[in-house]
Amino acid sequence: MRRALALGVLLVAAYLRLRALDALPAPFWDEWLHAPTAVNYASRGLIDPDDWWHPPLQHLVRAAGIALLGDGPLGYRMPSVVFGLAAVALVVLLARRLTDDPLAPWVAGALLAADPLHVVLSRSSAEEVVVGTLMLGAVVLALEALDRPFPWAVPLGLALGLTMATKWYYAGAAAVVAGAVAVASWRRGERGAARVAYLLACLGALPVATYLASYLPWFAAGHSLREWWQLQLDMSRMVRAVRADMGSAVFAPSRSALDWFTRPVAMGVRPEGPGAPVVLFLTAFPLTLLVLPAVAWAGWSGVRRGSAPRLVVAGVFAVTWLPLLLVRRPIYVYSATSLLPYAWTLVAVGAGEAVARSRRSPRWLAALAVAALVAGLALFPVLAGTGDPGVLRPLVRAVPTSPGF
Amino acid sequence: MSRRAELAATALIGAALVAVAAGATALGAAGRVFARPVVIEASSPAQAYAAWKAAGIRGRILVHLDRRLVTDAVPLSHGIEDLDPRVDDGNFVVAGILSGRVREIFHVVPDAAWDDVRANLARRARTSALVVADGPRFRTAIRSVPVTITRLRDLPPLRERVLVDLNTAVWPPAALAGLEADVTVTYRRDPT
Repeated sequence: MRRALALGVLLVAAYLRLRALDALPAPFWDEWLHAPTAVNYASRGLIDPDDWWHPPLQHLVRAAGIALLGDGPLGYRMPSVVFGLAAVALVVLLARRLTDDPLAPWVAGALLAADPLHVVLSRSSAEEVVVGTLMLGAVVLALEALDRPFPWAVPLGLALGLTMATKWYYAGAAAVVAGAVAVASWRRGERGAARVAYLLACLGALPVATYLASYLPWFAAGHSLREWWQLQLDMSRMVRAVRADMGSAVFAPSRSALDWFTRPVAMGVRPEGPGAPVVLFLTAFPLTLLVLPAVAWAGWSGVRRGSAPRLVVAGVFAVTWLPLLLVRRPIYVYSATSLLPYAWTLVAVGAGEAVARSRRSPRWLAALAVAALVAGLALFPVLAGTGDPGVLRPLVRAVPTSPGF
Repeated sequence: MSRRAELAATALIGAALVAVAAGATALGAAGRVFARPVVIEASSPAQAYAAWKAAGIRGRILVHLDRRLVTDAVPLSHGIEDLDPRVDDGNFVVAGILSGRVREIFHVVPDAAWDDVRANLARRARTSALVVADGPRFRTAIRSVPVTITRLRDLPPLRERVLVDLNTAVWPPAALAGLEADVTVTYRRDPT
């Protein structure tokens, strides 16, 4: 059963992300910003016309896609596809670290593989899936580094640097995983100068070096380290000052980040113009109702059992969600993508334990995964923009911010 | 063995950080291309862009002495096409940014206009994160390029030779006296 489920997860994940990837004509959504900025940054170190207050690795990732697959839909979207598929595999690895249940990791993979929001973002040029997967990789590496800082803290530091160089979403989560590795080492009595220096290098110097390296094209445009530091201060000011009117209100159908896990959140977008294709952004309600109980359970069981991995994953979810929860403006629905890997991992692990405790057949667990995969396949036409939204049409609004090339 | 390996990794990471910082500094220095000093009396502001191109400069600080800093968009459909045929008096500064010739701007406002400019910017600083009061000056950004708006007397010490463009309708050429510039362009444009 496990092999069949694994095969199903991988096939459905690939189908939902790759099928008809170029069906939506470019530029869709923010591709009119993303594509020229990728070329401008890679060739001239200029962060324009996209928002300059986000770090620049995302532009290099997109530039790689354009260099490999051309200046068109496949070049713009393929990086997210690759990172989206990697996220499914990483979620399976993450869940394996949290449970001995042989099926639960693949259930986690199925939930992420078929999550409607993750599918849509994995088919777009948006950076959400790229940065989310980099952070997910960091969390998987951190769970290894909890027990064996050497050598795992080295790739962990690299992953943290790459994450922060893509978007600052995960600053709190980065602190949680770095702190957990340092505390675990300290509690084992590994307090020598060599170990302290090693951890400082891996969790401090290496992320900084990686982050700084992502700015090399910007430096090549004539900038100095002093100007770079001023840019970081200006970026910080802009990120803190982001208001609802600085983005498209179309993407803020929920009043707060609490809605993502307590009620249905759905919206549709289409480029302006008659007959334009529609893409739906929606959370996996009602499965999303399981997320907050699962996170609470993971935190509680982590404390009770002294399970650092569970505490780390629940902590990453909490510190990533909390700032989004407290923000005093309508919240963009795609920001929920940052939480999905941890949400579905904890739901699957919790469901696995619930099934085991109730002595029910593991088929119940497999049924959850199959239901998610089937739902994902059923929704595919409206996630890919190849079908009619039907009864969901009233949710659809035109995207006013895509002037085209 | 493990301790040795950790020390080696620590040293390698430290060296990597130093190498990246040194590489960034070297790239930055190489990205700033200067020219032999030249003064051009232009018939229109847009000729400043042609002068920068002819001088072969890159990655430079521009000191813009005028009542206004006009930053019209360059009409590009994809964002990456050839700029030159699209440059005009309203967008030559933006074209300088997009072509990598200008990396920072100091907009020097005539004293007679400063009260108006200061009031406008102070109002914007209260409502927009894009404008910040910075002592006697204001800071903003155009397409990620930092812009400092100031009076001439508050112009901070500049760290290198600069590009200068000056509107003779609002600034006398004597205003150039304290500036060490390589490409200087003067033009006359109605300040309104």
